[in-house]
Amino acid sequence: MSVVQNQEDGVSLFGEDIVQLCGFKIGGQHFAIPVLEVQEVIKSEQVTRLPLAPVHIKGLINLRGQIVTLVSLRSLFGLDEKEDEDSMHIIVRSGDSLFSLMVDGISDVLDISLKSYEETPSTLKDDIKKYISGVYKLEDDLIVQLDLDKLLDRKENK
Amino acid sequence: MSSGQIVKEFLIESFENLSNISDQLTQYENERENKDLLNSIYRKVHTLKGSANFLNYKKLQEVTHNAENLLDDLREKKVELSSNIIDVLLKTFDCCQVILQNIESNDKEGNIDIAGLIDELKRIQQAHSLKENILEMRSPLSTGTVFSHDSFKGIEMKKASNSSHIPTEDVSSNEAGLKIVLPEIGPSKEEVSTEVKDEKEETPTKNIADSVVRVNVELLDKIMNVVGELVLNRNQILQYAGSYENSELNRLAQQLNGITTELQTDIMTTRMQPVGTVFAKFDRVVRDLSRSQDKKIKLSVLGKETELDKTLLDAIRDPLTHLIRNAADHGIETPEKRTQNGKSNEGHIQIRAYHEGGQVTIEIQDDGQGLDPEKISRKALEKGIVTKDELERMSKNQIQSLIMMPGFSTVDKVTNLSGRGVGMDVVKSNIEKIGGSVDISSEPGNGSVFKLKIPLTLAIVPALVIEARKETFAIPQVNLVELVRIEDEHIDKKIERIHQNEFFRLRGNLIPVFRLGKELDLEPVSQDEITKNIDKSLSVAVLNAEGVTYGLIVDQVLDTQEIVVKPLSKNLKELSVFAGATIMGDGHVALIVDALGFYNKVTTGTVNKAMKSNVKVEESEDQDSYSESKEILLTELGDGQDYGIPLVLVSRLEELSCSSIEWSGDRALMRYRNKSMPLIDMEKALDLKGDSLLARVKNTEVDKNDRFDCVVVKIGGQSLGLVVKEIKDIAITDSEVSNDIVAHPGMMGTVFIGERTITIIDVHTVLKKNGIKTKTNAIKKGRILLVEDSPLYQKIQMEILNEHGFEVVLEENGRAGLERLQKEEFDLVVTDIEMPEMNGWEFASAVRKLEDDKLRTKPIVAVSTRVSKEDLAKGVKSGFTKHLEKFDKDEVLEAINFCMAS
Repeated sequence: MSVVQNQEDGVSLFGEDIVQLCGFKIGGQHFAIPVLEVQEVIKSEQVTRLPLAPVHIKGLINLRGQIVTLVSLRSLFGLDEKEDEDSMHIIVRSGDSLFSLMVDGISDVLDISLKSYEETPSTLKDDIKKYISGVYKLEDDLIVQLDLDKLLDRKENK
Repeated sequence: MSSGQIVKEFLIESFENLSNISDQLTQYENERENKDLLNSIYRKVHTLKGSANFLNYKKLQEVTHNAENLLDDLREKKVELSSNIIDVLLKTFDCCQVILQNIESNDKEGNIDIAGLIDELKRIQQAHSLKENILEMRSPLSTGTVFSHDSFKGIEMKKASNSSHIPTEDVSSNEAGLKIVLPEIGPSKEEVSTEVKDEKEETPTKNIADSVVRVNVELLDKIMNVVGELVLNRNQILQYAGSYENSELNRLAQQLNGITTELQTDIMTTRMQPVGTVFAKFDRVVRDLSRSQDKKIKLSVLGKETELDKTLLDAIRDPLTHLIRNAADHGIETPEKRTQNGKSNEGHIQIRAYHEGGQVTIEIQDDGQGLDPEKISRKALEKGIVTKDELERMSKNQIQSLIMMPGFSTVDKVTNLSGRGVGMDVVKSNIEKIGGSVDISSEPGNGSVFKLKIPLTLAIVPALVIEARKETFAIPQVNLVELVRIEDEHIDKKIERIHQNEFFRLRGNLIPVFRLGKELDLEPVSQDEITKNIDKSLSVAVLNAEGVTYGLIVDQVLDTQEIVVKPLSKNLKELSVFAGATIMGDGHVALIVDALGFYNKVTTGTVNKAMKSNVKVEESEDQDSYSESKEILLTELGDGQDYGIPLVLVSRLEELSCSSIEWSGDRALMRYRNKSMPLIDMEKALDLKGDSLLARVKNTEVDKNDRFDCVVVKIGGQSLGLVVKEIKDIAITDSEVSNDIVAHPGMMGTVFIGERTITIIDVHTVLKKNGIKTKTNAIKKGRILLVEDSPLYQKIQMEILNEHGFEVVLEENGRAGLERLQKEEFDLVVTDIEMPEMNGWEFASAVRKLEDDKLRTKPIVAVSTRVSKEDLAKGVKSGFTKHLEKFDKDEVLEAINFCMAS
């Protein structure tokens, strides 16, 4: 997959509509969120634990003076935690606050043709299904696009 | 400038104008001679009309035009002012407000019917006919023409189209139907205002608007944020500079510190506005209410220059309005009712604002009918907000505060002004949201005072930084009452346990304490860390929130700092335990503990009976000044009855496992803190019917893993465990122990607790019966005069002193004591303070005035429940050698030995 130069709506040379996604891996599965929702990507920072918070909220970190809430997507999806100190985090904004999404690894920015969009297959775990806004089928892979607001606006405590 | 922006500017300016017009009209009603005021109103209406015309808002035009005419007539004295006219004018401007709101939300004036209003206005101007230019104003302005007219008003119209930002072609696509494209727009804004001014030659008032700059609140917020960042960064730099010991760096860091502090103060000042801006509305509110309800109400405002941060002002606007409405609606009675009750027929509502101790206090006081506790109690019971039991335990004040509970409303019929059952609790939560508090005090029949306390600024607060289980937390200073450090040896005495709850004795009062690390479920520190930490003393932060006082046990107290409060993200806000987070000097994040939120969390579900009875006592007024409050531990024994043990004798309350009970012949004992502790069978000792746990254990009727309650007392240096069926409660009573009904030996007498009569156990007799020999432990034996009026304390103190080898002579009050002292030889006097006939202070003063040297200098040890600073000072003045709190056995003995030795 090549990276297209222009940033905006991403009209490819072939005239197809393309969407740009930031890809990452969790538990071997490929996920993505629109590039425009990503503020930055950082290395793991010192975390202050947040007592009494839901299990998937790992704590708070200091990002250049801003308080950012650290969310473990593995935990949110019901997977076991990994003891990886050097994981990368994706910083996104939802509502008024910043969140740092803990993922297993970060892939490239992907240009995906809207043609490969499909409805969410019912075979995926219920746990994850509620966060999914859609799925893109590529030749050798399935990329699951996550809905950021649903991911982060959860009010219930586990 | 786009057309949308013109409309926006128009709206901002017009809302402000309307608001001012309304305020000034209300003011004018009471100041009918004030021509300046009337002119000012007129000018504003005029401006409004002009802008409406320019933007072709027809309804607005018509309404304001008619209003303007009426105002002109008033000015020219062609029409006489009446309250009725003010009503109509106010209605007119309210209508304009609605139109503006419609424009704001829909870009259109809306369907509002102004015909009725116009009629009223016209009718009032009976003698005055409408000018034809109204018709002209209704026609749409055509492109390229400046609306000119040879009449006076026409010229003004032209000038009123004053925007110096000339709209171009974009305007024509505006939905509001702007068709005006005037490239050769008239004179600029400044010129217009000066010209308008010149025409009105009556009073050339200085235009204060010249020295003021209008700034968007969002921009101010942004600047505040940036300053907040700067403060954090400064903290970090200061910290690092400190660790580098480079003098030049230090100097520069200090400079930065000074500059930042100044900037911080100045920026906060820009956001400060006088509360008067909010108060100004209330004149109107009170006026409208008093007219609609036929009441006479006077509103006075004090301290309107008091300043508050803009966001806080915005937050208190609605709550304050509600309180004023309440005062006028429910508080102040009708004139008839008032005169019936001997009051003046005009009610008085007073708002007072002032600074006090880092907070702004706003008091709303009325001399109306006050809050009726009876009525409130009834309603609260009806709505299920409290139970009958709870009500019984409440003071008048607490009952009155019930009106702030959700779901409460005492009005029999809901008026559309207040009393929908969503009022006071919303007021309370809104004020608390900004960190403030609401306090009610009211005298039924005389009036009420609502006191709002609001912190001066939200974001940057001084806080105490503490450590618990290696994690750092901050506690805002506003909640911090004091810090107490309990040395290792004293921990047993000061921290007491009742089942799972721990309590701390702070100057006679029992307050609950919680361990921060435990409650937050933090990572336990490893065993090595604990043993490494030689300093085993405890630090307790005494916090206060909403009238609740409690202690927080932390591992380490670090320092006080100014921190910037950063809010947690919305979905974490449910963690009410934390008020936010902050970034420390070294860059890591620390959580800010919310004193009230933490307390609520740790006390849900736990029945803190002891706390409640404590509260009951604190509320009791009219205490008999001679009887001191005694703390009695209530326990249930095998016969199913409750018995009391004086808490002063109790060392610890434990729940132990039956498996730890060992037997030495017939006697039960167990290993307790590395010593052997005899266990006393209470039922046996007191000859009671019913089971004794120890007997059952002996007969192996009890499972080894069962647990039992045990009251540990320390007599003569030895710990003894009194085995009871159940430890129930701690009660505090003022009633004296009466010896009238003594059922058995081993019982001291009875006491009234609440509504019951409880038998008090004589622990010393019980121990003697069990053959427990107590060691004596005196450095020097001697003769002590004990002056004490309470039978309970008499007995206890005598026992203890005897036990320790002193001969004790007892007198019941100061006078008798004074006589005895002069008749017989004593080495020292131990005296109570609160006694009939002659209290401890008077006794000591009298002793210090005796002629005999030996008598005059006799050591006097005062032991009393009164140990406040004033009491201690008074004690020194009266001549106490030592002044101790009741009742710390070891302290008293130490003091006695000390005095005797010297």
